[in-house]
Parts: sequence; structure tokens; C-alpha cells
Amino acid sequence: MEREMLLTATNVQVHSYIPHDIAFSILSKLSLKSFKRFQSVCKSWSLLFDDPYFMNIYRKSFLAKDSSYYDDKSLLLHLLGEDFHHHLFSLSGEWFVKLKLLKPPFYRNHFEILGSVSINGVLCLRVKSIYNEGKIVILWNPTTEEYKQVPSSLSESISIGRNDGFVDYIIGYDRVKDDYKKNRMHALQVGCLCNIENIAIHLNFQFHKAPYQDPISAILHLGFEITAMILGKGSVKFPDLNHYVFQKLMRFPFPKNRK
Amino acid sequence: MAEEVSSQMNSLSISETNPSSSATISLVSGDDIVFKVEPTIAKEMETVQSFIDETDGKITTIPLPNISSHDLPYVIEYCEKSIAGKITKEFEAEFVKKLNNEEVKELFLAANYLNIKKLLDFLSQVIADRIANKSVEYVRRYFGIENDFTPEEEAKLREELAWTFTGVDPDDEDEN
Repeated sequence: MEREMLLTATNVQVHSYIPHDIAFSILSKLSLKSFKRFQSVCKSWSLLFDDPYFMNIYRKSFLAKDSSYYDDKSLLLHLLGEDFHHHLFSLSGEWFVKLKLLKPPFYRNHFEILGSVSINGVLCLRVKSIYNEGKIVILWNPTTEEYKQVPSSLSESISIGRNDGFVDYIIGYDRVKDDYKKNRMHALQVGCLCNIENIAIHLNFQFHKAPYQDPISAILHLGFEITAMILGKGSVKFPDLNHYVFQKLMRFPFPKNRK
Repeated sequence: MAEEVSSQMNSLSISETNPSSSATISLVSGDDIVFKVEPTIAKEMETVQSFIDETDGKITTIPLPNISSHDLPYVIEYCEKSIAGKITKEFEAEFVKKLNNEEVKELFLAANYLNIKKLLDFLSQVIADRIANKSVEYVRRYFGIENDFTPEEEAKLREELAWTFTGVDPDDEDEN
């Protein structure tokens, strides 16, 4: 091993090999899109998405990334209020002090975020319809307020089976088989991005380009009732993100000197 | 290889009998160039420091056969800045600006060998940024990974991941 390394150092023509364990430290720092693409590098990389240990590192790396500018990002908070109504807030600006209440189409008091389309900040929601007691599934762009209802024939197959709040299931459209299949989602809910995007393509959901130029960076599933999402380029530093912090944040603006 | 080891042994014994060198640590690159550094620099390199600790500080010449004399000055420079608390975004950007992707990789491997967490962390981000828009084929070559998919498996996976294959830079063989 040492000999090989020595030879490599003296011969620039030879490409040296990056051992697997330290390759992961590089992969954990990739954007979601690049990381997904490199799943087709080799079999062991393709399995990383199902590796809770690695995904934990990936999530941490995402959150720890230092980013001093937040101007092109917003954070979506999905909260269950004390009145048991669901609320969706957008936090933006420096330290996310700009707070805006968002109202999804058909919103009355209850909706679930099933996932998101990886481009342009489109969310897939299940909303309790104001017109009847049933629930409908919609694709919705909170920025442009465009939405499209997923036909009930499809939406019935988009179901979510909560386990412990950290493991969800979603039915995704499989373009290869032209069929819908069940996928497990992990604490970092990214597993479903591509599938919901496929549904959007399937439904020919048209939307204008959102001001967010970049794909949604991450969805943080923070527990049973809270989903936070980071939109825009880069990521957000939130070392102590938890339910309690979020509840507090809803009442108080971020401390200015938080670092 | 055997000769090299013995020459390193010689240099080790020389430093033991030479008290004047005890203040500084001599790092010997794989191509036998000696770099004298302050003990505080050596402390930044966990591999080096544990070597020193194991010998109760008697040995101050450390052979680093895995690291070339091209990479070592960069590592030392980074450690110096780190001790001085002067690692800034500007410094880091300047630090890697002149390095091509192969050089960054060599430096990354050196940081791994020396176990310098800060540098390793920084360089893994640099590599991540540089490969972000690269093709799968480029990444296989860069990491030295064999494609172990069957053509059918790969085609299927690429189909599923089609949305991630947009905006990939074309491979440029001469980019280094």
C-alpha cells in the first residue's frame, strides 16, 4: 500500500485511488442532485441512500455548512398549532426574520406535506378539502401560488404511512414500468423527490420559474408534525434544530448574533 | 524500498544524537526532502504528533513516505495559518486556486494520512464542489472506481435518475 502511494507521488500519470471510507466524506458534501447522479458510479455508492449511518452524516454535513448569506433562501415551517390546525410559514431574509403565513389552495385547517418536487420549490400536499370531507392531493408552488390537483385516481395511490415520524412511505411513479411503487423515505425525506417530480412530469404540471434558482436543497423532517424545508442555494446553519427551538422561533425572531 | 527505510533509520539516529535539532521537527517527504517545522505545526498533524508522543519526544525526524515534497509545503502552510487562526474564506480560495483536481486529490490523501481534520474537511468540500458537475465517468476515474454494474443495471439506474443528469459538464481530458 505504502509502496503504491510512493510510486503514485512520483508519477503524475498514475491516478491514485481514494479509499472508500474517505470518499464518503466527499460524497457527504455534495448537493442532492450530484449525490443522486453519482449513485450510478458503482453499486456500493448506489446503496448509500439506504444507509442510515451515511445519511445521518449527509444530513449533518448539510446543516453544518457555513453560510453567511441567507438572502436567496427561505425556510418553510410546517407546524401543528395548539388549536390542532396546521400552519405553513415561510421564513426568509437574514436570519429568517421575515415571516409569512402561507395558505395552500383548499386550505382549511389541515394538510400534510407529502414531499416536494426537486425543482422550483413545488410541494406535494395532501389537503383536507374545504368542499368535502375527503382529502385531495395537490402539487403547489408556494412562490407563484400555482397549483394542480392530482386526479383522485392517482392521489389514492399517493399514501403516507407514518411509522415513528421519521420513516414515511410514499407511492411514487415509476416511469420505467409506467407504474406506481412504494418507496421508503428516511429522516431526510429526499428519497421521494425524484418520484414526486416524476408525477409532476406525468401530469404535465406547468409552473413558472420560481425566484429560487436552485433545486430545493433539503427537506428536513423534524418529527411527527414538523417539516422544515430549505429552499435555494446552499444550506442553512441550524445546529440545534428541534421541535422546541422551532416553537420558540415561531414566537421570537432569530437572535442577531446567533452563530 | 528496503534502502529507503534504512536511510530513514539513519536520519532518525542522527537527529537523536543532535540536541540542537530538538526544538524543531524535521519532516522527511517521500522523495527525501527535509522540511523543518515548529513543534506546534507538528501538533496539527495527528499522525506526526502521535509518532513524537510514542517516542517521548526523543525522535524529531519523521519520515513521511506517503507525502511528496510537492504536497508537504501546502500542508505546512495550511497548518501555520490554522495555528495563527488565519484560515479565512479568502485564504482558502487562494490556497486551492492554483491546484488542479489531481493535485487537490493528492493533498486530500496527504491530509488523510497525516490526520489533519480541518484540512481534510476543507479539501473534501473543495473536491465535492469540483466534481459536482462532472460526469459519472469522470468521477469513476477520479476516485479510481470500477463500474460494477451490468449495462442493463446501469441503464435502468440512469433512467430513474434522469433528472440528475442535466447540466453535466462535458469531460475534458486535458483539464488538468
